[in-house]
Amino acid sequence: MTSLKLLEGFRFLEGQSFMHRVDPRVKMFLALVFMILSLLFDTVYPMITLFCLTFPFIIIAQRVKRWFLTIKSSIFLFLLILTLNTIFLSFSAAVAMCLRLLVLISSFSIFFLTVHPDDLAAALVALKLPYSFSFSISLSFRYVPTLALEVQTIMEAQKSRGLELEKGNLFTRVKNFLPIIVPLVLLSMRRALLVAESLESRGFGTSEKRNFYKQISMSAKDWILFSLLLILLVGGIFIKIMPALIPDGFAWFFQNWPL
Amino acid sequence: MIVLDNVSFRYSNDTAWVLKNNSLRIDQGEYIAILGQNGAGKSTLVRLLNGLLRPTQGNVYINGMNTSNSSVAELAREVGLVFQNPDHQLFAQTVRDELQFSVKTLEWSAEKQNNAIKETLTQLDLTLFSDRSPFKLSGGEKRRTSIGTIWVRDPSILILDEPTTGQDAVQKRNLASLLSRLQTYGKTIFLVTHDIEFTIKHCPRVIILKEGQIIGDGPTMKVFSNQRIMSEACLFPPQIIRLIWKLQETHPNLSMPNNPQEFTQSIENFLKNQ
Ligand SMILES: Nc1ncnc2c1ncn2[C@@H]1O[C@H](COP(=O)(O)OP(=O)(O)OP(=O)(O)O)[C@@H](O)[C@H]1O
Ligand SMILES: [Mg+2]
Repeated sequence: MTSLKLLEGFRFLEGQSFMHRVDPRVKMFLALVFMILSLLFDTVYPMITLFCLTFPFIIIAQRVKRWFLTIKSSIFLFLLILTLNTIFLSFSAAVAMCLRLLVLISSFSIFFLTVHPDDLAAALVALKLPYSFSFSISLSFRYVPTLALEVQTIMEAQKSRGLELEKGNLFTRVKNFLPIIVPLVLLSMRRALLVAESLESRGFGTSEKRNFYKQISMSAKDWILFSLLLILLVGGIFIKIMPALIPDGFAWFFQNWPL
Repeated sequence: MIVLDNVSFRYSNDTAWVLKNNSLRIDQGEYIAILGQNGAGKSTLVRLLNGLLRPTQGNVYINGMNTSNSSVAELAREVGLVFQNPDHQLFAQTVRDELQFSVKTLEWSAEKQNNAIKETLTQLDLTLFSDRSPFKLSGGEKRRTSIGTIWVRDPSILILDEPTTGQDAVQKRNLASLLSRLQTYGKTIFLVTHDIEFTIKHCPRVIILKEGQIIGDGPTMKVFSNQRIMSEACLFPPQIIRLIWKLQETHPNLSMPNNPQEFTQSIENFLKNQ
């Protein structure tokens, strides 16, 4: 079941929270801002700050449980990053790296947990992207749960003929994924062709102009959140490119631990 | 031997029960079918038998092993589960590699492995395809290959999830003779199916599942001619049973045959007495 749990934090679930009602474009911007900021800095305290800024959004969206499932099932990844970075860099860099992953997961989790695939398409269209492009993106997200279920079934089918996924060294484990990946790719390719045919037979792309069932528009709260995020982004970039701006007593905040 | 002892199952604590309090005993060498509407819980039940799922309450025993204390790999030696869609299973370059992969985990000698593969290829009529890619086979050939990937491991219990869907009449007949042959080797055959005609023709015993509960279990003709069970499970009785019913309306002393083979006999007797 791990494969399914990992995706829990990225699967849309209907809700009534404030975060659910925020314009999808603003939520997209939110994920981008936190992604950029977390990649911009690489020390512990800024990462903690970023996490403290993202986490409240998950609380507001009332999706802490889902988010936690994802974090819990990626614990192996976290440990791997922690070990490798401690060996090759330093402990403090390793902690920062883990926190960065946490921030990345959390910010994208906010987006996918609260944006309905249809709204995603509408948002991309509103950003003036070609419809066929936005449609394929939202369609691929639509297929994430299907894919997860398929992985589950394939794993069960291979386990039934004696494949042990949890056993062996790293090399055998990687090799063991072949019997999972091959059927998955083949099934997905076949489905892609079927979906394309079915879309065509329903007249997809016959007219240039089309109308949308769902309309999105920015409200006052969306603009406020957008502005706050913009200030945060600009502030972060300024501090990064002009370290002179940092007040004297605060330099430690942006430095690594001496470990 | 398969024993279900008061088994209940649900996928998680906050979802409904999928199986409710079922007990069942299947002896070695039986040929048995399980029927029920979509969502009745057939595939779930079958997954409980090889440890892919563990009962939420109660116990499942396979040849004496409690599935709750055994790994899937251990159980897979006893129970071979053939999935509905061969595309979920096939991945290797050739049919032979596909079989090879299945026996690799069994700690058999190279000689035993090769013999098993050769034997399976012959029995399943796959020798001609042994060096072909499994992806270039027809639907029926793919299914035979996927049965082969399980059969080659020589499990004592063979479970097939809806093996007859999408198969033409010839393929169905081939499958039937294949399964009967397996049964003569003393294997337990357990079919999940919607195919009533196939069941009445080949399976001496049938189980009817409805909303997670076994509502019928017994000799196939008996269960299928039980109007209460059939209507509760939304199953339509097979033609021969409906014919007997129709005749019984005017000839109340005509008895229901115990199996399809006896059917001809009863009709002949019936005509003679006219
Ligand atoms: N992985 C799962 N997680 C949660 N619920 C599930 C899962 N798999 C099946 N179910 C639910 O369990 C119930 C029984 O499903 P199951 O697949 O066992 O039915 P089935 O009898 O095999 O049906 P079919 O004839 O359609 O194959 C259904 O209500 C289904 O929604
Ligand atoms: Mg099923």
